[in-house]
Amino acid sequence: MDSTVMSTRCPSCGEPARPGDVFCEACGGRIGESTAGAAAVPPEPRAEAAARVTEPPGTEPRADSFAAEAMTRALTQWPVADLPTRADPAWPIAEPPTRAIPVRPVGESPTRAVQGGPAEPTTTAEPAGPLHESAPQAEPVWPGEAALDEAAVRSPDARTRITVTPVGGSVRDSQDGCVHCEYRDVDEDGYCLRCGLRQPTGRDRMADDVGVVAGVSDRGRVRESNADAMAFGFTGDAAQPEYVAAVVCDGVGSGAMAGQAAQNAADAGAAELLGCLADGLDARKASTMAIAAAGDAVNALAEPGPAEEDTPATTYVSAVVTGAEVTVAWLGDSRAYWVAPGARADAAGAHGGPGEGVTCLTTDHTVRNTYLADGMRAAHTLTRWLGADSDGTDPQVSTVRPDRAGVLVLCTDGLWGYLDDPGTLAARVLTHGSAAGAAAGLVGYALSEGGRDNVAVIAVPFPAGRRWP
Amino acid sequence: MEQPHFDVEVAQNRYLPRGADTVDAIVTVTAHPPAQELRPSVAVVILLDCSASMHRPSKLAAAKRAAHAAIDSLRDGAGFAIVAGTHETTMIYPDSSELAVAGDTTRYEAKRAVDEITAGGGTAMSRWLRAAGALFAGSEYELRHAILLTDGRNTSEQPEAVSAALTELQDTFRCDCRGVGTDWLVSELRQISEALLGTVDIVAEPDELVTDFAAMIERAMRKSVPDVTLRLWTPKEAAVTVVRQVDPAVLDLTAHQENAHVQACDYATGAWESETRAFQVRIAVPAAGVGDTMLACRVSVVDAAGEVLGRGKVLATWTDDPAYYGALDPQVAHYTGQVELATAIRHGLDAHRSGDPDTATHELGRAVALAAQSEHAETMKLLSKVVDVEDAETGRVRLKDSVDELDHMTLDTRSVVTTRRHGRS
Repeated sequence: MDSTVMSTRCPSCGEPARPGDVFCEACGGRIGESTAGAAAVPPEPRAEAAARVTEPPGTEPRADSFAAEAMTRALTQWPVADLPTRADPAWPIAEPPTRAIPVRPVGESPTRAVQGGPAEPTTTAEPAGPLHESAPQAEPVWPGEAALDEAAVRSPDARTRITVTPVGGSVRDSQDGCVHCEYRDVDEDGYCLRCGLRQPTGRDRMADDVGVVAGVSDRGRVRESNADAMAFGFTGDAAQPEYVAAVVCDGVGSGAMAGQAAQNAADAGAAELLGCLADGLDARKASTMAIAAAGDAVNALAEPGPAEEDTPATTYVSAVVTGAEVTVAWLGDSRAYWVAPGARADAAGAHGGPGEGVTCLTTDHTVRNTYLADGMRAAHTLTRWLGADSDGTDPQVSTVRPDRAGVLVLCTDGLWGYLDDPGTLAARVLTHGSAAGAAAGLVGYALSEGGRDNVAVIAVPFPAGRRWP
Repeated sequence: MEQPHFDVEVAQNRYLPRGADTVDAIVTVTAHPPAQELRPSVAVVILLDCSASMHRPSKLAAAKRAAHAAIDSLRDGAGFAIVAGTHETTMIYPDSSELAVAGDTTRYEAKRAVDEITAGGGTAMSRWLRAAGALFAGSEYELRHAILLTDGRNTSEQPEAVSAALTELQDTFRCDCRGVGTDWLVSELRQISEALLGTVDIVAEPDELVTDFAAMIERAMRKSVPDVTLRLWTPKEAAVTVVRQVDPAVLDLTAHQENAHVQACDYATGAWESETRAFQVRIAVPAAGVGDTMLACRVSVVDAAGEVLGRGKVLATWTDDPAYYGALDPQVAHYTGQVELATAIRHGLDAHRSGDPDTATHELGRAVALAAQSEHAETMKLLSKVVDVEDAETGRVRLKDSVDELDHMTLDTRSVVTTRRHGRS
């Protein structure tokens, strides 16, 4: 596979970053907690990314934004760099001589094409709509009911095309001005020129939507950084994908290493999973191979020698969704839920509590802690995980064949810690009309409940290719 | 053209507990001046106390020898003047009110003029300072340095006269003060040196003046970046509450503030050579939410022309994790301790002088403990001349039955000199 062409990019300006960089060499912006060196990105053509942004009519041509961005970087200096002379102490704050123009391309949330098999790499131009339910999307293609039992017809080039979320997480939503005080000028490092507060960085909130699968991850309301990660994509044509695959990870610990481990695992896992599937491996085999690749990507972070505090480790849950089956594989306590209107899945090998229309397909690898009152984190201790000190990957794999259309939800404990009643999940998923809406809605729910932990949620409609059941 | 540049390093624990609104940091600034030939022009004015008390032959003779050494240390082309200070001022050299330019002839003439000095009269330091200010004001020299030598108190005028002169002259030149003997007041010279960003020291033996003067001039000659300003930008609704130099000596800069902008203040730091100084900065910020990160202060080093020579950032991140916010930054802790040490010595000596042995013992004991903790050997040595140390670690001390005035004043004068952090980082 292509796990050698690896680089990471600054979430603010897109400049390539070296492994381990915390701040971007170009813009000085924080690259984020997970600038892993391990995830694979072929040099991403930015023009392509821009070209794929859907332009609302009447707006400026988006191509200008890059010129504008370059100019801003040239113009934007610290406001202290060239203050007026002392003779003018009452320089009004509203009119600083230099000004940061927020120019991040709107809705830039590019999907990315990587080589998925022996064939020539193909760049897909699947539009990635902004994460709004009202966003214009391609007309959903609904496979016939027969497809529920039969594998979707394979298109000849299905094996050559893989579409995956950007390595290192999505860029954050563009924002005009400071999200905290609404002052219009934010410096190149993301600090507001008025209130000084940093704008959310790339990993603080990530959202991506490729139509047949969508996910949202958020730092939450308490933690300093986001140690959750997600990656997903599909093989073949967006209108009728052969496989939809998704990975959610929750980095162990709270430091930068945790987020890095999680993102490495998610990126490597999703890439390997889709690659194996495109190569014709079955979902179960592909799932375990992807976990092995993810484990390597996490272990690559470990420093040689004694590293006691910041050892890279993460939970991992993946899903492969086809026209007929759902295969989940996991290590740790991130979960997969099957949600269907008013019925349970044929949960062969599935575990978890019952609930109206909701089945948990995974079993947490945790030691039940009696001191539940200490909060969700203290309430469980992992017995299996990916990465440092793990006694070899020993993933659990489970396959179900649902008898009706539904939605698969992958999530970290940042969400399920608030799901005392699984019925809540059904209600909150099914009120939405798209994967993106469901993922955003569930993350919003976790935040409204307190957001004590990072949260990551991916929603995959079943059968693969459906926009919504 | 090679520009000087300054490295700015910020040491802090940026993590704050929920609701906290104070950010502390140590900003260490290292100057990298331009090459020698690009160095700015320099002028030195030597203010020699010629009041009657100097008449004791050893003192006046030593002062003259020191002036000779100073003159010899001037590099060619430097501006200079020698002023005799009493209750008024007399130009010793040159006899005009303009600075002379150092060269073989002027150095020779100046030394001959110094030899002619006689003592007599009172002491009015504000006039000395104003005389130096007037000499500098009529010149184009970029670096302006004065040296004030006295052996006595400012008896010929009200203290307000000095305060008024300092307010007027602040940031127009730098002044190092030297007190010879023990008849001068530390507080008087400290007031001058702090306002004019110089140093103050005691010279116990008149003979030591020679090397001290030569060293001061050489140091002044080495200064290569004039009028450096520390510019602190803070978010709106935040405020800088403390700015003080803490290395090499404690020097409060709060009084040296000028508003550069509604969100930024400038603090004059004087001229720099190739050197490192540390500053303690404390900022009051509005507490933000847990998980938020704030740029609490942008630190810039700015030259006289407003050019930014170096930058640093003080951050604040709120967290609920005690493992993060509980840790004290070692640099912050160290220099906070050094400031406390200086304060404890000052309070202890003041109490000692005003006949309050209990307070004196308590404060000086605390000082001993702080000096021991920071391995400040120099200060410890000076303290042990004032108190008998029974247990340095806990600060158990006993006041000496009789304290030599010289030891008292030496400790007082040098209480502000800090030490860098010892041990592993």
